[in-house]
Amino acid sequence: MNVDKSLWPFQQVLSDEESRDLGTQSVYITDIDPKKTTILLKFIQRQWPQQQGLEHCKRIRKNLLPEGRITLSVLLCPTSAMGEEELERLLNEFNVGDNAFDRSPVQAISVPLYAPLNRTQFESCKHLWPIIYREDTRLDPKFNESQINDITTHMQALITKSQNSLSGELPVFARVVDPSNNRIIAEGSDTRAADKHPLHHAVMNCIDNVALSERDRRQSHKRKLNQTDSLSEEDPDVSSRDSTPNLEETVEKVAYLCTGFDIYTTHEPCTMCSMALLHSRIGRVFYHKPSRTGALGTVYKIHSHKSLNHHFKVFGDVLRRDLSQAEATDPYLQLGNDGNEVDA
Amino acid sequence: MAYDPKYMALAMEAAHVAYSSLEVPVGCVFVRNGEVLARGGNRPNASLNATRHAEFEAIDEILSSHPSSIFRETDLYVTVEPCIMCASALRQIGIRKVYFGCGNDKFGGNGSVFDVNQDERLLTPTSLPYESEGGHRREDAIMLLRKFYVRENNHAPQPKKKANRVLKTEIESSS
Ligand SMILES: [Zn+2]
Ligand SMILES: [Zn+2]
Repeated sequence: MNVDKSLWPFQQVLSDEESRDLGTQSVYITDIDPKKTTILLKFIQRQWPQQQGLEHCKRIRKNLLPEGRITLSVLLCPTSAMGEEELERLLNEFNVGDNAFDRSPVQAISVPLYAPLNRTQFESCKHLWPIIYREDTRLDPKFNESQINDITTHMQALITKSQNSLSGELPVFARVVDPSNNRIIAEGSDTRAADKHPLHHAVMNCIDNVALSERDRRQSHKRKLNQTDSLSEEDPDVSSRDSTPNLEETVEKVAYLCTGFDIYTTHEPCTMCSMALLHSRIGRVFYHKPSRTGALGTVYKIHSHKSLNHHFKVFGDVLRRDLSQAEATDPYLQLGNDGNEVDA
Repeated sequence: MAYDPKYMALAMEAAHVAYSSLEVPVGCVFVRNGEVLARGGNRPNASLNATRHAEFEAIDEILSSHPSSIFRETDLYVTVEPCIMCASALRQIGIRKVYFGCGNDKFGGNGSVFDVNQDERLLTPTSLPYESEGGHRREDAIMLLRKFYVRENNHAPQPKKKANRVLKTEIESSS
C-alpha cells in the first residue's frame, strides 16, 4: 500500500510550473438570464473564434441569488483585448431583434493566469472563477512502506558517514542505488583536498565509479566470452557467439548509464554535479540538505527545466522533517560559514 | 589575452580527432600566456562516462602536473559553447576567459540555456564568474556537428522511418 504523501520523510522538489503562484489576468464578464445563454455564446463565437490563454477557465459561472433566482455570469474576453466602451458598443449592436437579451453592464474581474497543474494550485485559485481541472495522479510519485524504509536506510547511512568524517574533506557523500533490487551500484565522497582537484565532488566521483564498475562488468563479460571461445572447438554451438562488443550498441548505451538508478546525496548537488546527473540520465535524486548554490531546487531546477531534454524527479529534505534532527546534524554538514558556503 | 585564431584551429583539430573516434565532435585547448597546457576531445563513449566532455579531459591532464591556481592565467578555446556542467566546472577551477565556436542550444551554460559563467547567485569563494565570447569559427564547428549527426542517423541500428538525413550546408546567421 502506498504511503500518503504527508507522511513521506522528504518532499518532492516541484518544477516552477508546478509550484508557482498562478497569478491573475483581468477579464470582462456580463450577467444574463440563463435562457439567453445561447444567444450570447453566438456573439462570443463570432467575435472571438479562437480565444487563447483562457482554456482553463469555464465560460459560465452560475450565481444563486438570495431570492432563489439564478443568473449566469459569462466570461467575454481579456480586458487587454479591447476597452470597456468598445465592448459595450459591440454588445449593443448585436443585442437587437432576435438577438435581444437583458444583461448587466460588463464588469472586469480577475481569473487565474495559468492553468493549475495539481490540487494545491487548484485549491489556491478556485475562488476566483470556475476552473477546469481534472486531477490525474497516475504519474505522481508513489512509495510503499518498504521503499520508504530503503530510502531512509540509504540516507541515514550517508548522514552517519558525514557526521563521522574526519578526513579534512567536505562532508559530502553520494550513493547510487538500483531501486529495482535495492543494490548499491557505487558510492562517492568529496576528495577535492586529497586529489588537489576542485572538481572531485562526491557526485562526480560517484558517477565515475558507476562507469568504472560498468567497465569492469563488460571486461569480465568479455573474458567469459573469450573463455567460451576457447572451449568452442569442442562445442561448435558456442563458437557462433560474437565476442566483439557491438560498437553501435556501446554508443547507444553510454549516455544512459544511470538510467533507472537513484542517487542519494547528503547535500543538494551544485550546477556541475546536477548537470552531470542529467547527462547520465539519472532516474531520481534524493538529497538531505539544500545548498546555497544547489541546482536541483535552490538556484536552478535542472531536473525540470523546460529546454533541457531529460527530466527526473528530485526529493529534498530527506530525513530533515524532524527539525530537532536537522539541527543536530546540520553543524556536521556545513560547507562553509554563512554566505560563504562552497559548491556541493 | 586577446583571441588568437591559431588556438581555435588546434581546438578544431581536437574536435576532428573526437569525430574520428565516433564521439560527438567537440574539442578544446587550454592556453596559458601563449603556451598550450593541454588539448581535449570528447570521450563519453570510450570512457562509458557521459561526463567525460572535452573540457574535463584537458582539465584532468593539467591538474595531474599543475596546481589549480594555474587556471587564473589560463584561457579556454573550445569549438562548442560549454554545456551547463562544464560551464560550472570552469567557474570552479577559476578559468580566466572562454572563447567558443558555435552556441549549444540544448545544453549551453554560457548564455544559451543558463548564464552559469556570469550568474551572481553562484558566487562562492571557489566559484568565480568569467568572461566568455562565442562565434569564433562558428560555421566550421556547426558543419562538423552536422556531419556527425548525419553519420549517426545513417548508422542507426534500426533505420528511422523518415528518410535519412542529408547534410545541410547553409547556416543561418548568428542572432
Ligand atoms: Zn558538485
Ligand atoms: Zn560539457
